[in-house]
Amino acid sequence: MLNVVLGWLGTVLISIGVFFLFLGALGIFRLPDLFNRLQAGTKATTLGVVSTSIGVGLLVKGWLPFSVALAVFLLMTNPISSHAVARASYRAGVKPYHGTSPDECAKRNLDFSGEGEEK
Amino acid sequence: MIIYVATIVVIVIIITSLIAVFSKKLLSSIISMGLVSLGVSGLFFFLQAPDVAITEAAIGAGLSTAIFVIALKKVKKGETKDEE
Amino acid sequence: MKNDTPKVFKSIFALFVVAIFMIGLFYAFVSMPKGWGVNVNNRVSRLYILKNVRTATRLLDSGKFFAKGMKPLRAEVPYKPIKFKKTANLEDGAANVVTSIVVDYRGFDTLGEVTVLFLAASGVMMLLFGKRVKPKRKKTEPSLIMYVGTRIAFAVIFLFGIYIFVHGHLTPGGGFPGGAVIASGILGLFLGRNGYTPNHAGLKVFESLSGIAFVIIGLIGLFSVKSFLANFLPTGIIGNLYSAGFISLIYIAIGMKVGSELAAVVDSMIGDTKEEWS
Repeated sequence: MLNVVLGWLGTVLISIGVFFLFLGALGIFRLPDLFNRLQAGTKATTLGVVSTSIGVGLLVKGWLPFSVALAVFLLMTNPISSHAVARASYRAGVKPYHGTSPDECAKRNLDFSGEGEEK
Repeated sequence: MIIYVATIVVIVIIITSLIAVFSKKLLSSIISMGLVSLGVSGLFFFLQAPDVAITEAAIGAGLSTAIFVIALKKVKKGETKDEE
Repeated sequence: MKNDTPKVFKSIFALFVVAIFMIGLFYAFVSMPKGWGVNVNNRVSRLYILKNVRTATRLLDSGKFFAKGMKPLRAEVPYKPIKFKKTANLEDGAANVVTSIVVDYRGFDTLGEVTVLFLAASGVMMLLFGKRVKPKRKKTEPSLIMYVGTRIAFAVIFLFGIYIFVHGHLTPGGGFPGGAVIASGILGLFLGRNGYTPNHAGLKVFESLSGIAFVIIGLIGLFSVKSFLANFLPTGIIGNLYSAGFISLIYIAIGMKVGSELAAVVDSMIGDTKEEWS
């Protein structure tokens, strides 16, 4: 009984994960500029990978601790690396999409002079 | 099954190494060299040598790429100073 | 730091240390058994030839492992099947074959590899030696997310590196990848905030002590088992954590040495620049 419930739960979790991975891939193709693509490629992919790994841990006997550890490490490092990439590309002079109405990072009066000017 | 995956990995290695050789920007060639290391470590894993695969992934794809990028940034700064 | 020790005592002490190592190495070369003195059949197990031990055991049990009329390499040595977590007192109790060959049978090669890495790291540090320049003013405020995140992730990465080189005789891995993982965690700390400096004295002490520990373990083997870097501890049951004798001790030494060396290389590359890396 418990095995059947865990199997169905794992299958549902893997389906949710695959769907969100597909959404992440779609967002990378469809969104206009670097920051939006980074957001799609991080948020959706993090949820997808975490859900998929926990689903596999529920399906296969004895893999749950490893998959939970993997999920926790991914939840911890994936947003940080995405934040680092976004910050570095903003400092290197990548302009946001013109539809991004308030550029909050420009309001903070950061002096980016002398950074990323390649000539 | 595994031979097809290995073939795809080998093709990726060849393409990224060609990019690393023929690219104009040094930064992109460094990053493609890290990709070559990642592919080679995956290939080692397929060939049942997990020890070498772990070493290659940690040193080749992790540390040496970062050290190359740091060295590139230092060298570029020196060049611009000399030109001025 | 002021040092009041006279120069004569320093040189005499250095000569003493060098003389001890020279005598030990000379004794090692003299007293090591010659090529014809070693029974090769005792050094290489028959099962280590195959990668898949389980299949090899089954084939050997059924007698299909060798073709008809072909004589096995160690036919005169009695064969016992090896069972995981049950068989005790093997000639080398490591579950990972690569580790048992790299550290035990060919331990001197590993000592040479560590020496090569040490020479490379000291060459990099000698090239980049210079006055450290601190950044004059902060152009940008450092990112708080990177700072906190790298500090939290460093603990996990450090623990994973220690796991890799402590379990080197059970699972794939070993001293070199464990040290590289630890060094990449320290690289993350460098990228986390500006002006991070590791404890240089700690790095030096770790590197020197672990290098000395490697040689001392080899000398203990020389004086107790009559061969340099010989296994002088009981091998235990295969598959347990406390097994395989001195392999885990040597891998702990190698892991600390490689980690501190690569961290020092990263420090000397990043440290004396005027730029900000966060």
